[in-house]
Amino acid sequence: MDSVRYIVGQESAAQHVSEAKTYEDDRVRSLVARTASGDIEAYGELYSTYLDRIYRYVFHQVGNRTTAEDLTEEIFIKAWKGIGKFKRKGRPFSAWLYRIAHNHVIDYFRTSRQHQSLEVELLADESTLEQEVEGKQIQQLLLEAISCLPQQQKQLIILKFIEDLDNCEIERIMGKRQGAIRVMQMRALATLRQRLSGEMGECGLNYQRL
Amino acid sequence: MRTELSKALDDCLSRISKGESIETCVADFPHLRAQLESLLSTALFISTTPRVSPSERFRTLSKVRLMVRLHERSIGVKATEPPRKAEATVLKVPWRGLVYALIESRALTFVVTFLLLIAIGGSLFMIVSLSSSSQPAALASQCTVSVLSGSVEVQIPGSHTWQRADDGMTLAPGSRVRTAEDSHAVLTFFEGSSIKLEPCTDIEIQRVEHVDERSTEVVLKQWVGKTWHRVVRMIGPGSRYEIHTPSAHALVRGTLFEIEVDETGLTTVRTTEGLVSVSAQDEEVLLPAGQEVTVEFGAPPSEPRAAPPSDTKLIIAVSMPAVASVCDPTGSCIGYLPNGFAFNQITGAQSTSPSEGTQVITIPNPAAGEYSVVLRCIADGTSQVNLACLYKGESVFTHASAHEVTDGSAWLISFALEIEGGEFISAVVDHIEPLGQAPEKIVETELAEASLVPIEPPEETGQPADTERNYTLAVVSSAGGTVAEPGQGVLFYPAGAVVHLIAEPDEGWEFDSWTGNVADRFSPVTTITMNQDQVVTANFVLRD
Repeated sequence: MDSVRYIVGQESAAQHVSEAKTYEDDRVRSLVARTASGDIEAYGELYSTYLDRIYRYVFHQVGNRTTAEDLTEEIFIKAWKGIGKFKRKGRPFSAWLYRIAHNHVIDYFRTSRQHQSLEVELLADESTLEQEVEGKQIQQLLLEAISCLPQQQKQLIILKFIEDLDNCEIERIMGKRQGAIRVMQMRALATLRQRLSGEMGECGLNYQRL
Repeated sequence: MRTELSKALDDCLSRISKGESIETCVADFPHLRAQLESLLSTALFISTTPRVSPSERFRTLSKVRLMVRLHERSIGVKATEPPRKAEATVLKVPWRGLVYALIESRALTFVVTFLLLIAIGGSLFMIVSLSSSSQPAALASQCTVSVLSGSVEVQIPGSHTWQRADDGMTLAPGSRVRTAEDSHAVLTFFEGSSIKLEPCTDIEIQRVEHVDERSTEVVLKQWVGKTWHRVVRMIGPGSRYEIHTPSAHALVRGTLFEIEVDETGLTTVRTTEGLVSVSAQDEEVLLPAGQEVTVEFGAPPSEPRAAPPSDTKLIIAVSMPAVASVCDPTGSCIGYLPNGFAFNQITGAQSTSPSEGTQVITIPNPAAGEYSVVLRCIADGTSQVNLACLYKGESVFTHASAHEVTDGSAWLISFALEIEGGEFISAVVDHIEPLGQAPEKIVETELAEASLVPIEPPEETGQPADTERNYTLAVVSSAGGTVAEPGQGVLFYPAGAVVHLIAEPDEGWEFDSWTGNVADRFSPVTTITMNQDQVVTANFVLRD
């Protein structure tokens, strides 16, 4: 009986997710169309929808809260300016937005030359002290390990395992074919495994612990 | 092998995301089992790690910022460049000129614009008046940072990163300054105006320049936090001192006021001196001293209301021949220098001019901690220093001392205030010593210096002689009026003296009552008998 209920639950959940995604797509499409015609408040809704994702994406790239905040704001300004171009190309909005975010982060690294002295910091959460300490240690290790990955592997890991995007979405954002994404994913996970288990040494970055 | 492993890994990741276990999936690839388990558990570890999120503060604030920026772009109004065509109108009614220019450009649906304007002729006794004849022909347009306490950071134009601000650093337009918790800073502009930044404040310097020989422009953007402005009176008709907040624009021509912007863009303006005009969404209200107004995002200004009274008040009175300044525990100072230079970095505080004989410095809601009073002496003589801590108009602690001083000497008096739950616990005057390093962090600009009038010792008057003093009378008033007789400040009388008191309301206000041991609390003309140290407050209310 339990197993039957489990399967029903799985189907129901999948259906719900699918419906929610369709609704979300429609909503985003409508907001993008309104934004493209100059509706600022529609863009405000898009901003609220994607703020967390873009911030997280940037944070894992730059490893610093303040820089991530500044870059996130600039990315949304850039996206507003280029919304007309997006409409013509017809790609999913999220893929387009991540692409802008990625290019902006690359520009940031190029101009500030910060990538050689990357600082990774953690945010305080609202859990208990013990959970916080343990959580922070784990999160710290992971952030450090991700920061050490080559740029494209880092981008892939963030999109797939932190942002939960599927391979199709990642393909659109990164402009890579599925086969290349699969191989890159395997290499990135293998590298992370080695680093997290202590089999690899320091990657030469400076970390800031909070 | 690599291709096979990468395909199997991707297949398992997909299946696991749909609810399958690692074991079930790996069982389908027995020859890759060890490698797959290792990679899949790593992937699972990453997926289950707590997610990083932006802070609520950033979430709210950044959206407000974005909306404002987009509106500025969409309606073609550059915050840093007020419409030039409005300037001819500015001579007469500047706030209307700017509002009309904005309205003409496009109907404003989201951005609220409100303008503050000091009414001509407002009583501004802290203002350093600028003389056109003494203005140098060419001056550097600049803004200087003074770090009073804690951590202050600046972002220079074109940079993505914040760097530590150093004392005396000069900032160009486009720079941003922010203060951390428990941190305070002062920005001083070339024309003499200054802004004190309270903790957690973020401000952007958009424009600092000479418009022409007589006129200057300072344009700022206050993103969040609390600022205290001391704006010098501007003589050139094209002069402008303008502050933008996420929901508002503020245009000022000389006053003491504070602006508070919260994370939703809600702006509160509180005037300490002068009369201010506040406009938003084509609605205008007048904001006299002691009043405050709020502007919500997308709404017109609220009705002006009396600013919340400060339960605690610190009054320091210093008589000639000393010119005084007071520094609070955050390093913020208020007072005068003997050359006539005035400064005010303490939110809500006021100081009378030493030229009046007794300089009275009033600090509302004083912070607990160490204070210092600096006495700079401009003649030989005896300087009286009186300190009074008031709670709801009643004297809690008083301290009086007299100091024989010589011309050119300088002294430092330290005292500590203990305050708990908004009430004074103790006030301890530690010691007086010759002044070493001056505690004030002030920037005397070239333009401000050019207009200074050195303070001269007053001529002898018929005031009660110091030697006859037995008791202290502190006379203060609420917003809306003054005590005309015997005048405001700290005065000294022999035991048993009967002092006449006359309260005079400002226009639009009426006398309400006295606080203190007066003969008749509800008469504007009454007396008080000096049988102890006394504090008397005249209270005024807005006329209906």
